Amino acid sequence: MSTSAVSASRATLIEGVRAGSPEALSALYLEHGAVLFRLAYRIVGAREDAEDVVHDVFVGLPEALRRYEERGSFGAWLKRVTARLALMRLRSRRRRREVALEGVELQQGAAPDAEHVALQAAVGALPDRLRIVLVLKEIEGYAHTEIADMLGISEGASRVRLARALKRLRKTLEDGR
Amino acid sequence: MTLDSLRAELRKLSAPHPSSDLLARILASRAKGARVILPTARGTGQGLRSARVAAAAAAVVGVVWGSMSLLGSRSSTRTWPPRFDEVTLLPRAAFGQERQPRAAEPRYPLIATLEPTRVHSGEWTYDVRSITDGVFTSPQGHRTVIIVEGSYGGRPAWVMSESYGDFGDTVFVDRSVLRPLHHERSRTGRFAFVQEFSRDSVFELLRVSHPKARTFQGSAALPGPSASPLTVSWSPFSIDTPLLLQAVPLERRWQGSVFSVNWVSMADRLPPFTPVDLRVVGAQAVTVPAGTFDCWKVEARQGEYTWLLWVSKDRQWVIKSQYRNAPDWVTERVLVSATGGLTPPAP
Repeated sequence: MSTSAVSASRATLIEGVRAGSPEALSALYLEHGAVLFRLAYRIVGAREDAEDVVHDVFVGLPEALRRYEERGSFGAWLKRVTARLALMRLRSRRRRREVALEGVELQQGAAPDAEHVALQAAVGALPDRLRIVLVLKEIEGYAHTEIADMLGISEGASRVRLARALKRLRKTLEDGR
Repeated sequence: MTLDSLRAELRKLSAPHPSSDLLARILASRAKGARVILPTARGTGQGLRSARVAAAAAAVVGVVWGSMSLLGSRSSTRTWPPRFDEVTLLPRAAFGQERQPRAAEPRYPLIATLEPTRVHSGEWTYDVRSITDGVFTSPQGHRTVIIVEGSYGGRPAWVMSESYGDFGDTVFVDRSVLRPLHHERSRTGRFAFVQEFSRDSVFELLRVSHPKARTFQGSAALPGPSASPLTVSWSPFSIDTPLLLQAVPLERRWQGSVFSVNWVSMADRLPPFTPVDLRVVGAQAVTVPAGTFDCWKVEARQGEYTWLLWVSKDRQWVIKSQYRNAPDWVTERVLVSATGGLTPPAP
């Protein structure tokens, strides 16, 4: 399908969701749900909370799309909204962070080795303020400007937190060897 | 491990997949009328700033117009107001990362037992008076509190409103748990604000017109369990306290606390939430212009403020309330007339 055809199809879907069509909402979920869930999971650290976040994103989407200005990537907009909602939940619940060692479905081709498990645990053990920046920058690929905007911090603070997170991670992994 | 290899390993970190029934749950929630206000993405630039100012102005006009129209006609139902359709409440992005002052601890256990079916509609008119040295009484006019049945966002709600002079206050309260869903308050030429409540958060837009025009936006995570009632107020005479008092099981030695939601957009200056600690301190027959009532005497403490409420034992109406501004200066409200009981409680 050509780029313009994809855009037209996306615009139709968005219009459908705005109008309250369950079919359009389902189609958007099938397209973006898994990615948004992974993002939410990496921020909140617990499956149930991540599902609640994605649930709320899609339940609120028809009304939120009335305010969507269709500038830039729709997927990136959805991810920003999801990240913000996940951050809100993280703060409001202050729930004990779960390090997802069980039930993790590894990416295709990845082996469940000890290093992988150790890294996952080390990331999970970071303080939230460092872990969130690490997740958003290194795993989700956001720019420091975007992270600063999402977290309400300066770009410099985002860079500092990332550097500290990486330093702590390396130390934790080296100490564990 | 080098930094590059660490980064590469991080990108390989896995995450689980969502449950297979998540989509079904989303569609079921939508079908049941559930709605969520999302913290929408923020842009940059002058165009957006202008849009925000326009949105704030539109909201203020909407608030004032909405309060007046609501008070003027007691419509039995009200859904999401169309005037807010295009108005973004613009909660501060990722407020979850902002530190908020910690709410004071409630003195008593949070109210957990309620009888929401006891709440009933009606209209209560109070005389307000100021008493100095226990002798000099100065009338301060009438206040009328109205409770009607309504709905908000498809959910059954109690609509409480109060107005006097250029001041208007309206709150939509979820009928099942007595938590606010929507709150509008305005004073012509001074300020107007609107608060939207979700299950665990409050979003606020506050516009102050005098002495200097300013707009505040804010949001906060609500304190306490999601099943506990909440009130909206930053003064001892909360608009929805009478509604809550109809539903609590008052009896001798009863006590309970409830969180009051204040201006959350000024959380750096005022605590966004304060506990209101209620306890029955006695029983007393009270005579007011509306008649003589057998009452529970209830003490309410909110931070440094303490006031007394006399609540009738039968329908748990607020018959009289008293707030001591200073050792020799008291403000009182006494019930003049009431037309309650359009949907009377079970005996």
